Amino acid sequence: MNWINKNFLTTIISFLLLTHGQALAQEIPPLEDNQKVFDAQSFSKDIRQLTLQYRGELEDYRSSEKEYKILKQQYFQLETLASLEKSVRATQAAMVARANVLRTYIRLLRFHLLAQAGIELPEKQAAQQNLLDTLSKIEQHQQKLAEPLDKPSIANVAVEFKELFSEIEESVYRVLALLTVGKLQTVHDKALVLRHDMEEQLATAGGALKSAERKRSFDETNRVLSSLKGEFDLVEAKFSDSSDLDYKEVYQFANDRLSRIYSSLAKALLFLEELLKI
Amino acid sequence: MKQSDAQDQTQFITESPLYEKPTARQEPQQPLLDDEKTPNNKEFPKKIVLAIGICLLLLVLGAVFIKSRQSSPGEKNILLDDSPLDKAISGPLEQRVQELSQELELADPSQEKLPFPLVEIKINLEDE
Repeated sequence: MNWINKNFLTTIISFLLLTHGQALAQEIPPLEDNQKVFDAQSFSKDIRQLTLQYRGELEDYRSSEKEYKILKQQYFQLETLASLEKSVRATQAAMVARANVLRTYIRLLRFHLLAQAGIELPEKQAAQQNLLDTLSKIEQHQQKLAEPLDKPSIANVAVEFKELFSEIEESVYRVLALLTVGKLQTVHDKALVLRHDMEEQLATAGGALKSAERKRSFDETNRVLSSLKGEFDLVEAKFSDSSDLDYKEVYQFANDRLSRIYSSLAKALLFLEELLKI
Repeated sequence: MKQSDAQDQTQFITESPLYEKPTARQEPQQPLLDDEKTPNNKEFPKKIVLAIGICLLLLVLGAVFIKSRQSSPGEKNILLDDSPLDKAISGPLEQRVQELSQELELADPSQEKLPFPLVEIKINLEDE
């Protein structure tokens, strides 16, 4: 009798544990999905914080630059040691403020790049690495500005910064072009999905006359959307060309092409809107 | 008398039968006399039944005709063709189109949302 009771209890406990385990497994989403949600939230939070910081630093820079220009002019007019000291301090302060603005801007740009969908992963990773390298160089430049400088040291730092600035520009325009491509590519992908969904849902609606009219309209919309693939490929090819490293020029080229893509996408969306009224 | 009449040239030949001696009187047929004298009592309800039947037939035909006009499939298709798309289908799709249009506006390449900061490259104490 005891043996039967024990067996019965064991069966019940095992059954309860098994059911509870299955329920838990259903409740907890996969780790990968959780991570994605966390990342998306984290990016938007960082972007918000950095945008505020960037605006504040830009304002500081404007006032520092204004002061630097006034004191520099005074120094050239007075040519005294006191005016030199004041102008050296104001120049260093303006340099520090400028470096802060550029550093925060690049950090902000990096988060925008990471959060943007529709960019090929290798290109995204390469552009991100480029930004990190540039960020490191800006931080080295900031370290030089941390110590008090004299007039000759300021001249040296100014020459070094000129070289650094062209590198910063290259990294930034590369990312700006990628961001525009990513945004438009995302809209293009979503427009294709929407067109497909609309075609499926409207297939049975209305009579034969409407169906024929809709089919012609869908075909036309499809032609507009399909033609964009070639345009995207051209922009892609320009980025993939390793010999072409002038990203400021690439950005200009991409912008011309992307403006055409933008117009075509706007046209396709108008077609889709019109299709719902047929 | 008859002879003198026959010789009268002024008389029309067609009038001659009027002067002929009438023959034996024809007796009307018995059944006809019976019909006039005693009308059939069953004739009246028969006519009413026939009239009611025709009226009913016309009513049924009218009802069928009206019903067929209301639910004619061809007519229904034409109505559907002219009517706008059902809101239940078009509503969510329209919202998606609007959202995508807004997203596209944010992707306008001519309007850079994060422009390169305008900073002075030449910050130094050299005379320019």
